[in-house]
Amino acid sequence: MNKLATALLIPALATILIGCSSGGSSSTPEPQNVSGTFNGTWGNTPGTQNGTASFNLSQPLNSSEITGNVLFDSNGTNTCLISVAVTGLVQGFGVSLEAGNTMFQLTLSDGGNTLSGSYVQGGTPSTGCSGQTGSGTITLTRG
Amino acid sequence: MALYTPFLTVIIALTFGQMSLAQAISNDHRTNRTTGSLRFTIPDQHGFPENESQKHFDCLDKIYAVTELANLDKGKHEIEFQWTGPNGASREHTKYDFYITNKPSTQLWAWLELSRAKGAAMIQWINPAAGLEEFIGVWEVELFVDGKSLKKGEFEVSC
Repeated sequence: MNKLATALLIPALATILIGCSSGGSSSTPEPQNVSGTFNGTWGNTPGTQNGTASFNLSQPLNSSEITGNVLFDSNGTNTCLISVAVTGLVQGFGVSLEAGNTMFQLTLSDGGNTLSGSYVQGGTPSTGCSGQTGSGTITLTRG
Repeated sequence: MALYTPFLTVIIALTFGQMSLAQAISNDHRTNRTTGSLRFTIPDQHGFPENESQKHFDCLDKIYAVTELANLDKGKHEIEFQWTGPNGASREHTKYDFYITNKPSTQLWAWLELSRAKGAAMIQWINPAAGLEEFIGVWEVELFVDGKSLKKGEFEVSC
Protein backbone atom coordinates (compact mmCIF):
# COMPACT_ATOMS: atom_id res chain seq x y z
CA MET A 1 0.00 0.00 0.00
CA ASN A 2 2.81 2.32 0.94
CA LYS A 3 4.60 1.54 -2.30
CA LEU A 4 1.46 2.24 -4.30
CA ALA A 5 0.95 5.54 -2.51
CA THR A 6 4.54 6.56 -3.17
CA ALA A 7 4.30 5.54 -6.81
CA LEU A 8 1.22 7.71 -7.23
CA LEU A 9 2.42 10.58 -5.09
CA ILE A 10 5.75 11.27 -6.82
CA PRO A 11 4.35 11.74 -10.36
CA ALA A 12 1.48 13.80 -8.93
CA LEU A 13 3.89 16.02 -7.03
CA ALA A 14 6.11 16.39 -10.08
CA THR A 15 3.11 17.35 -12.20
CA ILE A 16 2.09 19.99 -9.68
CA LEU A 17 5.62 21.42 -9.50
CA ILE A 18 5.94 21.51 -13.29
CA GLY A 19 2.61 23.25 -13.46
CA CYS A 20 3.63 25.78 -10.84
CA SER A 21 6.98 26.65 -12.38
CA SER A 22 7.04 29.61 -14.71
CA GLY A 23 9.24 29.78 -17.80
CA GLY A 24 13.01 29.88 -17.55
CA SER A 25 15.02 32.92 -18.45
CA SER A 26 17.98 33.73 -20.68
CA SER A 27 20.51 36.52 -20.46
CA THR A 28 23.26 38.02 -22.61
CA PRO A 29 25.34 40.58 -20.70
CA GLU A 30 27.05 43.51 -22.37
CA PRO A 31 30.59 44.77 -21.70
CA GLN A 32 31.11 47.48 -19.10
CA ASN A 33 33.52 50.39 -18.87
CA VAL A 34 36.68 49.26 -17.04
CA SER A 35 37.37 52.54 -15.24
CA GLY A 36 38.10 51.97 -11.57
CA THR A 37 40.36 50.12 -9.20
CA PHE A 38 40.83 46.39 -9.44
CA ASN A 39 42.65 44.42 -6.77
CA GLY A 40 43.71 40.81 -6.82
CA THR A 41 46.44 38.27 -7.03
CA TRP A 42 48.88 36.98 -9.62
CA GLY A 43 51.02 33.89 -9.81
CA ASN A 44 53.52 32.61 -12.32
CA THR A 45 52.91 29.42 -14.23
CA PRO A 46 55.31 27.15 -12.31
CA GLY A 47 53.86 28.51 -9.06
CA THR A 48 57.19 29.78 -7.73
CA GLN A 49 56.25 33.46 -7.64
CA ASN A 50 53.08 35.20 -6.58
CA GLY A 51 51.76 38.37 -5.04
CA THR A 52 49.06 40.97 -5.10
CA ALA A 53 48.28 43.61 -7.69
CA SER A 54 46.26 46.79 -7.81
CA PHE A 55 45.21 48.23 -11.16
CA ASN A 56 43.92 51.79 -11.26
CA LEU A 57 42.39 52.14 -14.72
CA SER A 58 40.71 54.91 -16.66
CA GLN A 59 38.71 54.41 -19.85
CA PRO A 60 37.12 57.59 -21.22
CA LEU A 61 33.57 57.33 -22.53
CA ASN A 62 33.39 56.54 -26.25
CA SER A 63 36.94 55.28 -26.23
CA SER A 64 38.56 51.87 -26.16
CA GLU A 65 41.87 53.16 -24.80
CA ILE A 66 42.91 52.61 -21.20
CA THR A 67 45.47 54.46 -19.13
CA GLY A 68 46.41 54.10 -15.52
CA ASN A 69 48.82 52.67 -13.01
CA VAL A 70 49.57 49.23 -11.73
CA LEU A 71 51.05 48.50 -8.34
CA PHE A 72 52.50 45.05 -7.79
CA ASP A 73 53.52 43.56 -4.48
CA SER A 74 55.50 40.44 -5.12
CA ASN A 75 56.30 39.55 -1.53
CA GLY A 76 59.94 39.80 -2.51
CA THR A 77 59.64 36.86 -4.89
CA ASN A 78 59.88 38.82 -8.12
CA THR A 79 61.77 41.99 -8.93
CA CYS A 80 60.16 42.26 -12.35
CA LEU A 81 56.62 43.27 -11.46
CA ILE A 82 56.66 46.72 -9.89
CA SER A 83 54.69 49.96 -9.87
CA VAL A 84 54.37 51.13 -13.45
CA ALA A 85 52.14 53.08 -15.80
CA VAL A 86 49.74 51.02 -17.84
CA THR A 87 48.19 51.54 -21.26
CA GLY A 88 45.77 49.29 -23.05
CA LEU A 89 42.80 48.61 -25.20
CA VAL A 90 39.28 47.29 -24.60
CA GLN A 91 37.59 45.24 -27.32
CA GLY A 92 34.21 44.08 -26.09
CA PHE A 93 34.87 41.70 -23.23
CA GLY A 94 38.59 41.48 -24.03
CA VAL A 95 41.12 43.78 -22.37
CA SER A 96 44.78 43.94 -23.37
CA LEU A 97 47.16 45.91 -21.15
CA GLU A 98 50.82 46.75 -21.31
CA ALA A 99 52.59 47.62 -18.06
CA GLY A 100 56.30 48.10 -18.43
CA ASN A 101 57.61 44.96 -20.06
CA THR A 102 54.56 42.92 -19.11
CA MET A 103 51.65 42.24 -21.46
CA PHE A 104 48.28 41.23 -20.06
CA GLN A 105 45.42 39.53 -21.92
CA LEU A 106 42.34 39.78 -19.72
CA THR A 107 38.61 39.30 -19.89
CA LEU A 108 35.99 41.47 -18.28
CA SER A 109 33.24 39.45 -16.66
CA ASP A 110 30.81 39.35 -13.75
CA GLY A 111 29.07 42.55 -14.84
CA GLY A 112 32.36 44.40 -15.27
CA ASN A 113 33.57 43.50 -11.78
CA THR A 114 36.20 40.89 -12.59
CA LEU A 115 39.33 41.12 -14.73
CA SER A 116 41.03 37.79 -15.24
CA GLY A 117 43.57 36.32 -17.61
CA SER A 118 47.23 35.81 -18.25
CA TYR A 119 50.41 37.83 -18.48
CA VAL A 120 53.64 37.47 -20.40
CA GLN A 121 56.86 39.24 -19.56
CA GLY A 122 58.93 40.36 -22.50
CA GLY A 123 61.74 42.06 -20.66
CA THR A 124 65.42 41.32 -20.50
CA PRO A 125 67.69 41.16 -17.46
CA SER A 126 68.69 44.75 -18.14
CA THR A 127 65.18 45.86 -17.17
CA GLY A 128 65.68 44.46 -13.71
CA CYS A 129 63.64 41.32 -14.25
CA SER A 130 66.06 38.88 -12.73
CA GLY A 131 64.65 35.44 -12.13
CA GLN A 132 61.59 36.03 -14.30
CA THR A 133 59.72 33.01 -15.49
CA GLY A 134 57.87 34.64 -18.35
CA SER A 135 54.19 34.10 -17.77
CA GLY A 136 51.42 33.53 -15.30
CA THR A 137 47.81 34.24 -14.46
CA ILE A 138 46.09 37.09 -12.69
CA THR A 139 42.60 37.59 -11.23
CA LEU A 140 41.33 40.98 -10.11
CA THR A 141 38.04 42.18 -8.71
CA ARG A 142 36.70 45.71 -8.63
CA GLY A 143 37.62 47.21 -5.28
CA MET B 1 -5.79 56.96 -71.42
CA ALA B 2 -6.23 53.17 -71.47
CA LEU B 3 -3.22 52.96 -73.78
CA TYR B 4 -1.05 55.07 -71.50
CA THR B 5 -1.79 53.17 -68.30
CA PRO B 6 0.39 50.05 -68.94
CA PHE B 7 3.18 52.24 -70.30
CA LEU B 8 3.04 54.42 -67.20
CA THR B 9 3.08 51.35 -64.96
CA VAL B 10 6.24 50.04 -66.66
CA ILE B 11 7.97 53.42 -66.34
CA ILE B 12 7.13 53.60 -62.61
CA ALA B 13 8.25 50.02 -62.03
CA LEU B 14 11.51 50.60 -63.88
CA THR B 15 12.17 53.84 -62.03
CA PHE B 16 11.61 52.36 -58.61
CA GLY B 17 13.33 49.15 -59.68
CA GLN B 18 16.43 51.11 -60.72
CA MET B 19 16.45 52.97 -57.41
CA SER B 20 16.26 49.74 -55.46
CA LEU B 21 19.01 48.21 -57.56
CA ALA B 22 21.22 51.26 -57.06
CA GLN B 23 20.62 51.14 -53.33
CA ALA B 24 21.42 47.45 -53.20
CA ILE B 25 24.67 47.97 -55.15
CA SER B 26 25.62 50.81 -52.83
CA ASN B 27 24.93 48.70 -49.73
CA ASP B 28 26.87 45.75 -51.11
CA HIS B 29 29.83 47.99 -51.75
CA ARG B 30 29.82 49.15 -48.13
CA THR B 31 29.44 45.71 -46.56
CA ASN B 32 31.80 43.77 -48.80
CA ARG B 33 34.90 45.18 -47.13
CA THR B 34 34.29 43.73 -43.68
CA THR B 35 34.57 39.97 -43.36
CA GLY B 36 33.90 37.83 -40.34
CA SER B 37 33.46 34.32 -39.04
CA LEU B 38 31.03 33.05 -36.44
CA ARG B 39 31.56 30.05 -34.20
CA PHE B 40 30.30 28.75 -30.86
CA THR B 41 32.22 27.51 -27.86
CA ILE B 42 32.47 27.60 -24.07
CA PRO B 43 34.71 29.84 -21.92
CA ASP B 44 38.05 28.86 -20.46
CA GLN B 45 38.89 29.46 -16.79
CA HIS B 46 39.41 33.19 -17.38
CA GLY B 47 36.37 33.74 -19.55
CA PHE B 48 38.17 33.71 -22.88
CA PRO B 49 36.53 31.68 -25.64
CA GLU B 50 38.00 28.19 -25.97
CA ASN B 51 39.74 27.56 -29.30
CA GLU B 52 37.71 24.45 -30.00
CA SER B 53 34.31 25.16 -31.54
CA GLN B 54 31.15 23.32 -30.55
CA LYS B 55 27.75 22.82 -32.12
CA HIS B 56 26.07 21.10 -29.16
CA PHE B 57 25.77 22.50 -25.65
CA ASP B 58 24.35 21.44 -22.34
CA CYS B 59 21.47 23.60 -21.13
CA LEU B 60 23.59 24.88 -18.23
CA ASP B 61 26.61 25.83 -20.36
CA LYS B 62 27.64 29.42 -20.85
CA ILE B 63 27.41 29.56 -24.65
CA TYR B 64 29.85 31.85 -26.42
CA ALA B 65 29.32 33.23 -29.92
CA VAL B 66 32.72 34.31 -31.21
CA THR B 67 33.59 36.28 -34.29
CA GLU B 68 36.87 37.20 -35.95
CA LEU B 69 36.33 40.41 -37.90
CA ALA B 70 38.71 41.67 -40.54
CA ASN B 71 39.09 44.57 -42.97
CA LEU B 72 37.54 47.08 -40.64
CA ASP B 73 38.13 50.78 -41.05
CA LYS B 74 39.74 52.64 -38.18
CA GLY B 75 37.30 54.18 -35.73
CA LYS B 76 34.14 53.30 -33.88
CA HIS B 77 32.00 50.34 -34.89
CA GLU B 78 28.98 48.58 -33.47
CA ILE B 79 28.49 44.84 -33.15
CA GLU B 80 25.26 43.03 -32.42
CA PHE B 81 24.52 39.37 -31.78
CA GLN B 82 20.84 38.44 -32.19
CA TRP B 83 19.90 35.21 -30.45
CA THR B 84 16.81 33.43 -31.79
CA GLY B 85 15.41 30.59 -29.68
CA PRO B 86 14.23 27.18 -30.84
CA ASN B 87 10.66 28.43 -31.21
CA GLY B 88 11.82 30.93 -33.85
CA ALA B 89 11.28 33.99 -31.69
CA SER B 90 14.02 36.55 -31.10
CA ARG B 91 15.15 35.85 -27.54
CA GLU B 92 18.14 38.06 -26.73
CA HIS B 93 20.47 40.53 -28.32
CA THR B 94 23.93 41.71 -27.29
CA LYS B 95 25.00 45.03 -28.72
CA TYR B 96 28.09 47.08 -27.98
CA ASP B 97 30.55 49.48 -29.55
CA PHE B 98 34.11 48.58 -30.36
CA TYR B 99 37.01 50.53 -31.78
CA ILE B 100 39.62 49.76 -34.37
CA THR B 101 42.91 51.55 -33.86
CA ASN B 102 45.95 49.94 -35.49
CA LYS B 103 45.04 46.35 -36.30
CA PRO B 104 42.20 46.10 -38.86
CA SER B 105 41.01 42.81 -37.34
CA THR B 106 39.66 41.83 -33.94
CA GLN B 107 38.09 38.98 -32.01
CA LEU B 108 34.84 39.75 -30.24
CA TRP B 109 32.31 37.63 -28.44
CA ALA B 110 29.05 37.53 -26.57
CA TRP B 111 27.51 34.83 -24.43
CA LEU B 112 24.17 33.35 -23.54
CA GLU B 113 23.21 31.92 -20.19
CA LEU B 114 20.04 29.98 -19.52
CA SER B 115 18.38 29.88 -16.13
CA ARG B 116 15.91 27.31 -14.93
CA ALA B 117 12.40 28.40 -14.00
CA LYS B 118 11.77 28.88 -10.30
CA GLY B 119 10.39 25.74 -8.74
CA ALA B 120 11.72 23.55 -11.50
CA ALA B 121 15.00 22.89 -9.71
CA MET B 122 13.14 20.57 -7.34
CA ILE B 123 12.24 18.19 -10.14
CA GLN B 124 15.36 18.33 -12.26
CA TRP B 125 16.33 14.90 -10.91
CA ILE B 126 13.25 13.57 -12.70
CA ASN B 127 13.57 15.74 -15.78
CA PRO B 128 16.94 17.47 -16.41
CA ALA B 129 15.22 19.86 -18.82
CA ALA B 130 12.60 20.94 -16.28
CA GLY B 131 12.07 24.68 -16.45
CA LEU B 132 14.26 24.94 -19.53
CA GLU B 133 11.95 23.29 -22.02
CA GLU B 134 11.57 26.37 -24.21
CA PHE B 135 15.36 26.56 -24.67
CA ILE B 136 15.88 22.99 -25.81
CA GLY B 137 16.55 22.75 -29.53
CA VAL B 138 18.34 24.63 -32.26
CA TRP B 139 19.22 28.27 -31.70
CA GLU B 140 20.24 30.73 -34.41
CA VAL B 141 22.61 33.66 -33.97
CA GLU B 142 22.80 36.46 -36.50
CA LEU B 143 25.80 38.75 -36.39
CA PHE B 144 25.48 42.40 -37.36
CA VAL B 145 28.34 44.85 -37.77
CA ASP B 146 27.46 48.51 -38.09
CA GLY B 147 23.83 47.52 -38.55
CA LYS B 148 24.46 45.15 -41.46
CA SER B 149 23.99 41.42 -41.29
CA LEU B 150 27.34 39.69 -41.69
CA LYS B 151 26.95 36.08 -40.64
CA LYS B 152 24.48 33.51 -39.30
CA GLY B 153 25.14 30.36 -37.33
CA GLU B 154 23.35 27.65 -35.39
CA PHE B 155 23.93 25.58 -32.29
CA GLU B 156 21.86 23.07 -30.38
CA VAL B 157 20.99 22.99 -26.68
CA SER B 158 20.03 19.80 -24.86
CA CYS B 159 19.92 18.64 -21.26
